[in-house]
Amino acid sequence: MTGRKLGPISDAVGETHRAWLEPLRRRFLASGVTVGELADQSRYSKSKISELLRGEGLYPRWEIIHSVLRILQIPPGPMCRLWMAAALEANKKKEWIEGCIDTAVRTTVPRLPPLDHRAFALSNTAAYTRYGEVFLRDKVRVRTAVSNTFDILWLRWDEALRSPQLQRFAWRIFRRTVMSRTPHTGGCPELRSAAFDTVALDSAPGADPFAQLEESLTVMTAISRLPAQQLDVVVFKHLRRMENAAIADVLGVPEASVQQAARYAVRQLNQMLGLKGETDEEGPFLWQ
Amino acid sequence: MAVIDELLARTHLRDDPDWPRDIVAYPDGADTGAVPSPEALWDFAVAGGHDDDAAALDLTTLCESVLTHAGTASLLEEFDTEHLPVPGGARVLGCVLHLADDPDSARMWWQYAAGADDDIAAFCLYLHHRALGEFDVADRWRRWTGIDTQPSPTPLTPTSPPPPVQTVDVSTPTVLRILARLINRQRRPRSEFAAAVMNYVPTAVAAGYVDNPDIEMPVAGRHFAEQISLILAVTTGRGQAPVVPLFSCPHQCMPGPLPYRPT
Repeated sequence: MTGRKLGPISDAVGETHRAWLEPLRRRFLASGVTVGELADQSRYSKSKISELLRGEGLYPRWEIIHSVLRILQIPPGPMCRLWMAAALEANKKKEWIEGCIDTAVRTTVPRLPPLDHRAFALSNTAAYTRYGEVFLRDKVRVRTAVSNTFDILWLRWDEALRSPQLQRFAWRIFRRTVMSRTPHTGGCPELRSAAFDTVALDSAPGADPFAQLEESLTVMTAISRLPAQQLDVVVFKHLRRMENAAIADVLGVPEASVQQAARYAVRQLNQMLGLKGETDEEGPFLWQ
Repeated sequence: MAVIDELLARTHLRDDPDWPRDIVAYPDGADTGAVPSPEALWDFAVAGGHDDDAAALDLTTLCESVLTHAGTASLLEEFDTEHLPVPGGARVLGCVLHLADDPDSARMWWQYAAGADDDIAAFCLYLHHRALGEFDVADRWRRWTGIDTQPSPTPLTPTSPPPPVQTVDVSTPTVLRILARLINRQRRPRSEFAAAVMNYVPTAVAAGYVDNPDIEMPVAGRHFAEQISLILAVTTGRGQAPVVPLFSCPHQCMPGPLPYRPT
């Protein structure tokens, strides 16, 4: 490839915008086409194409992306959905989005993802949904996050298949998607709202609901401070009551890693809550 | 049981919590309906769903069937006003335009017909949007149409008289698939009437579009109904051909796509 090296993605680019821009750039770099050639073939100016690939300037219209997709042989379906989600994030009106899509020419590129991708999506939707519900607490938002994840995965499917562990590759994308949409406090995801959805709060006979809520709020806060993998294991294992083998399958790690993460998590939680653990002294409950 | 185990046991979440909707709009647009549900995106792999190619094939088969249906000719002759046909005629116009590779005009006529509760037109729109990969819009039309859009989950068993086969799936998608297999366009040419209509209608609509710049819909040109009657009389020998002014439509010989009109 000749021509000047492509600059990095602008810092101002949001998470969802980045989700479609990164695979686009990767495909562009792998194609061996220069920015000038892409500009010639798409009939847009070189500076416009360069801006698009770096995420500079205003959020791009669909027409320009669409013309580039055709040249780089990228399926427009998943890209379009991600572009829409990022457009909403960039405060674009629904009318603007629909106007952009209506003016673009439709292509004949196959719109179905590969069969193995579809199988993967079907077999992981349930577990992803259960995890997403803990943080996003809205069925539509959860569905959107899961759907966006599979779109990103479709765009990066070749890369995913080449990765050492497909499940882990996909899980990282999903986790990033969920966390980018979850409010954070002090660098930790907001998990306290889940305290209102516990079975214990609903069903404990004769229990004081306020005491239960207070306990759950404290435990959830502590869980949210766990490192990523321990947090994921605790969410699946305790909040969603999944077996270790199933958790290992979703996360793409050996079952032994799940057990180890669970053990470390308990130790950390004991410490954070001031409880007597394997090696710790007994301490006061935080909520007492 | 250690205290921490008891605490963690009580963090088990309900499976179907009752979440109140947030009154503040979400930045990911999940509450605007702009993002289709993953069911719409991913469930097409489940048996019974339409994938894009299958929907396109079903739509073409359906349009062919509509065009060759016995009542088609009379529907095309009936107009509510000079330019607006009855809903059934609008549905046929949409099908003809679809077969003539003018999907945008076809969509408009189907929308017009579906607005008048024409179930077949709504079903055409469902297949049309499905074929384009626009699953959320397709889903809206699927709910609109009264036609079954999924193959029967359990085969229907006829009761009497003793059936020639034990179980049949008579849902519309299944029938369309069978029809698509039966219709081999290369071996089985269209009827003379259908071929003549296919030849005439796209040109007439393009001419009507030029003649009526103020109307957003691709309306038929003047004397459209009379021309259809004429085609019907010539190709089927039915009735007497009406007298149609020679050169009734100045753009009659102008084929091709519709002219550009800013929206």
